[in-house]
Amino acid sequence: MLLLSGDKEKGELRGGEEGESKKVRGGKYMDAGCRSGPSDQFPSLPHPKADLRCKMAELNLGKGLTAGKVASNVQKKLTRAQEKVLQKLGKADETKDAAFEEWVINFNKQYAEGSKLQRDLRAYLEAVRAMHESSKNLQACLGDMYEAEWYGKNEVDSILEDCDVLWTDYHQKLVDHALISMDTYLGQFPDIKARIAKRDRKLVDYDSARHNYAATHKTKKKDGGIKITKPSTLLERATPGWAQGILSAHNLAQTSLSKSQAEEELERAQKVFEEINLDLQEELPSLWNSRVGFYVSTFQSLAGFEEKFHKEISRVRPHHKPSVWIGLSVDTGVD
Amino acid sequence: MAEIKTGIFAKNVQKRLNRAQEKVLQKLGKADETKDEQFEQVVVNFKRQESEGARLQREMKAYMSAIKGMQQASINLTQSLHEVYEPDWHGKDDIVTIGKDCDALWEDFHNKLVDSTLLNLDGYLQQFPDLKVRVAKRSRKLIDYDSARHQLESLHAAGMKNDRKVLKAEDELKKAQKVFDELNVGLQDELPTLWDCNSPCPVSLQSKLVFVAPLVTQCA
Repeated sequence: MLLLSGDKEKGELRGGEEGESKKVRGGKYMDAGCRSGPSDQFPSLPHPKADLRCKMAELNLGKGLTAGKVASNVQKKLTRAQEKVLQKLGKADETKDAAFEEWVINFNKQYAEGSKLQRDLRAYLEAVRAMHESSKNLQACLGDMYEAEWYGKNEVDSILEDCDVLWTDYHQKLVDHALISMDTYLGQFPDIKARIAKRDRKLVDYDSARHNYAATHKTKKKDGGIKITKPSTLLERATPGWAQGILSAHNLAQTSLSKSQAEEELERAQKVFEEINLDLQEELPSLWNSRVGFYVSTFQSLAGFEEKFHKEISRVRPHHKPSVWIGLSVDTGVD
Repeated sequence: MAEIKTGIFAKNVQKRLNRAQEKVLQKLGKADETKDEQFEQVVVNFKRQESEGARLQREMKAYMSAIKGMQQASINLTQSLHEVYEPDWHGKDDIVTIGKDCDALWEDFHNKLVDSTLLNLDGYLQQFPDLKVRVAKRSRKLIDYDSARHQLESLHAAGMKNDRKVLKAEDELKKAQKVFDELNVGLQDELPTLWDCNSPCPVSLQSKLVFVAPLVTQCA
């Protein structure tokens, strides 16, 4: 499955490829019942999309997917797979943008760093909470050891409360400032990642349109078709039985593209691609640069909170001298 | 060797039987029990002290592990932050230094706590098992004493002038009383003292709050 393995969008077609049908190469569908016209001669070949629709309707699609939408998705995937195959075999050039790719690398790096920081920050917050808990328990234990009438009981209780308040406050500040801003910052990434992927797909579309256009303008007028090149044949061989017909129909549809259609297609693909490309070309650098400011503000405020917290909690301590603890036998009720 | 063992074994069995018998009699109200309410209060305090001490030890250990957790989380965060720094950013090395300093502070804090409180606490708590054993022994000896006392009384009541038996019973009584008194007096001194010397450790626990970790980060 060499041809298909590179493109994960082809997942749909991968299933069932073992049972390669014995159907005649030339596009006989498994379910002839779908056909409306006479048998499968090229001239009377129905539009590939209509056939797909038949097929999809049979496959009992759910989730509100219209057969038309699915058909066009499948169409897209086929085209892209084909283009990628051609590119990988070196039969078609690929539009490369080294600068953009570097931005993508930076983006991924930034995302990974940010995720790690978020994880560590969460763990830190968890540790703070654990400290708070155990500190509270310890002080409660000490407090319980005090008899009600012992000197300093009130103080111990108030110390407990003060510390509790300080810890809670500290934890809350950390959550509000550091954690939430970290989450917000990282929230931008999945969306941009999806758009980068979309741009890649549109780029493939663009290249494909470009090649088609070049092809239609290169060849002399024959039967209105161009030769199906070898890689396509390989692709054909790779598809499962039930899609054979779809694929060859698709190929033929491609080959019968007229000049003007190809031109239209090219313009459209270019437009779509450039739109998304330009947007990303602006956003990625600005995101990359924003990281500095983000790190600075987040972690400086974190440090500030820590400092303040430790200063304040160090001030909470008993006022009476330690030695008083020992001479507390007064009213313990034991001789 | 086996004979001696059997001898001791037999003696123990005898003792247990006697005590069980005495207890049954006491419970049925057929024999009075020497009560010492004051001592019983002391024992109650003792038990309370022991459980409080154990709880304190548990909480301290939990606190220690929370400190360790904090230390680890802190160093992880600092390391992540350090990785984020570009080579040309100002302060890259400072982060490492700060991280190390903080780590050292936490470590120091942890060790101080261990040295000053946990060790004391452990030492303090070690007195308890021994005392517990002695309290239990005292109550057993008390039963023995009561049992001897009742035997003598019953002999007297029966009007027996059997000197030998009476003498023997009196002897037993004296012995039991002596043993019991010894234990009793010893415990009566020690338990209250222990109660009064209630953990000297809480003092240093309050000073734990003096820990201050100034974190000054300089970011680019």
